[in-house]
Amino acid sequence: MTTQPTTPILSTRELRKSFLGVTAVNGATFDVPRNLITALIGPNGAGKTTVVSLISGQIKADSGQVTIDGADVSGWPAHRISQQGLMRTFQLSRELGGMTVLENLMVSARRQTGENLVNVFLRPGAVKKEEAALAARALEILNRYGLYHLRDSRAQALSGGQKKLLEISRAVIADPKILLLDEPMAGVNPALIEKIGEYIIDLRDGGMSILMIEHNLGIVEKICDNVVVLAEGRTLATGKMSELRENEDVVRAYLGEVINADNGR
Amino acid sequence: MSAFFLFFMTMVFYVIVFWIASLGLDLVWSRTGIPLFAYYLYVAVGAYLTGLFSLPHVPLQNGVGNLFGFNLPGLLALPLAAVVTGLFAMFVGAVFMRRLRTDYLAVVMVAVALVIWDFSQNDITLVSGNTGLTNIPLPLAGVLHININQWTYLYTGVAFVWALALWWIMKTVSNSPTGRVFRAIRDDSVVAATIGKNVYRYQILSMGIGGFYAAIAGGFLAQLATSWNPSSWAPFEVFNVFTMVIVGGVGSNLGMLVGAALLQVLFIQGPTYVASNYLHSPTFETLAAAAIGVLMWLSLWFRPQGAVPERLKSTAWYLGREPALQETINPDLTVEERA
Ligand SMILES: Nc1ncnc2c1ncn2[C@@H]1O[C@H](COP(=O)(O)OP(=O)(O)OP(=O)(O)O)[C@@H](O)[C@H]1O
Ligand SMILES: [Mg+2]
Repeated sequence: MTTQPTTPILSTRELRKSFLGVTAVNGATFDVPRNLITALIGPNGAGKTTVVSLISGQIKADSGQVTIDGADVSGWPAHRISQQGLMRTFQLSRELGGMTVLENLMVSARRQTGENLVNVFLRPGAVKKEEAALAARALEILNRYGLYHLRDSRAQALSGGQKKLLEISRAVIADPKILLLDEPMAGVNPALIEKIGEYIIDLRDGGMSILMIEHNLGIVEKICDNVVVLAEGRTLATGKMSELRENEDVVRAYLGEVINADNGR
Repeated sequence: MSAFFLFFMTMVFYVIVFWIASLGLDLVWSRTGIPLFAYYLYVAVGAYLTGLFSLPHVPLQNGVGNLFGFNLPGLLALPLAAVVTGLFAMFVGAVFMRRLRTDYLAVVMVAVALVIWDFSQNDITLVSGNTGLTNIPLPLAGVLHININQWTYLYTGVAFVWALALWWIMKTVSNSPTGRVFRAIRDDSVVAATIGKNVYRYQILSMGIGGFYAAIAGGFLAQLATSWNPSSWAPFEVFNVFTMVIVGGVGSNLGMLVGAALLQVLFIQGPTYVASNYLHSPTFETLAAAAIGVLMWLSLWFRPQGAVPERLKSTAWYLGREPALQETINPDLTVEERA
């Protein structure tokens, strides 16, 4: 360990976004530390998904700043932010439905020689070789996440849980510095929740930094190192889960509600 | 017999030309997801340019004339026109894809094509309005001293060579990582951007290639007819090409040949021949053309994947040439066994 404090891999400053008068994000400001799993929690409609979309560039912020690994990416288009080393998944899975599971991964890999048509025609050998190696790498990832047997299926034929795994695999093949997961375990059976938790921990142990939206506080407590609480588009608090349980604002805005709901089950 | 043979070869010529046209539309529409209803505009631009490049300059007189003329050999005018049309298509794409979502783009492009078509009827200073371009030279005919029938047979061969080359190019593009990015954009352009692809750039590229293919088809049509005017590219023509793509099988290069052949033989050229030689009834021809709409509907209803469905690329296809790699993966290790 170095003694110098490292800069956060991702930080947002005063992010704001409203949709036709509805303020979804209202000054969200937080840091995501390197090589840790950070949870982004908050009530339904708190603006969590919108924050993720603002960071990854799918939605343009009205104002505010996003920094990835020291680079100010505010206002950049989504593909350039992605190329900066950021990957995200979607709350409602968005698979490339007409393509095979294998191709969903292959297309997601970075810096492919064959993505330039000049190379396709002038360096066919290099492209072929790269394709085969890429397919092999994709298969290893599919194998790791239990999707190997579905490799040649159309992605639209997958079940909800399998699509969640596909989204994670598709992000992983790009080897991002920072991975944003929007409720990766929502609507998934308990055994698979456990597995996905392990996968996420493995990714962190492999050096990735992760920001994940999650409603289940048991999971947050178990696998997340750090928590950001969002309420009404604002950062309410940040810290460890155990600290936040002591924070009255947080309990009032969110935890109380959820704890009661948990007890009610 | 000879008359029938000439008809037959002309029909083959049309099948080949519309194979080329549907390959281009298939790339833009079925493989990149851009509903390019203005596709026939590029067919027309290619046709006009092929004509202008191979005609001499005729200064405007009594409403007839053309803006410029290069007097180039027809075999050269065609690809040159296609390159220029491809660049034009990229420019149009760059302007319209900048801001518009693809569903709005579809509507706007219909409007643009109609406005330009209307303009081409009324403006006489560029390409003679409704008279259009006439006497477009038959490439090679003068050099080889052959008659129109011989020329038709020869040029059908030329078109076939072009089609084979364009088919191979389209196959190579769609099998490449670039083709995969096109398909990703078709399936979900938001995801494509999320995984780092410059969607705008690829859409423009796709439009450019599509424009090139459309123009080659248009150039051939103009050369065969030795003329090109607004009635050659009436607004409904584009639906024939859409129908070929749907009936043949979206995303299938050989399916495009099947679609083009089916429509030309059974619904366009075939009925025209029967009507003019046997039935002497233009009504029959019109009915056949109307039946194309029914065909599209039936095809979408009963066989939406088309005659030759798009083939997915399997793992074996990707690994095929590198069998050693297959051993590095253990196919038996599934999640159940890991648990
Ligand atoms: N595209 C949009 N158009 C209009 N309003 C939107 C849009 N996206 C989000 N909103 C609004 O912004 C607010 C925040 O939504 P968001 O999806 O970010 O919440 P969330 O915290 O992810 O909620 P959940 O936990 O239910 O997923 C909501 O009031 C929502 O209605
Ligand atoms: Mg959400």
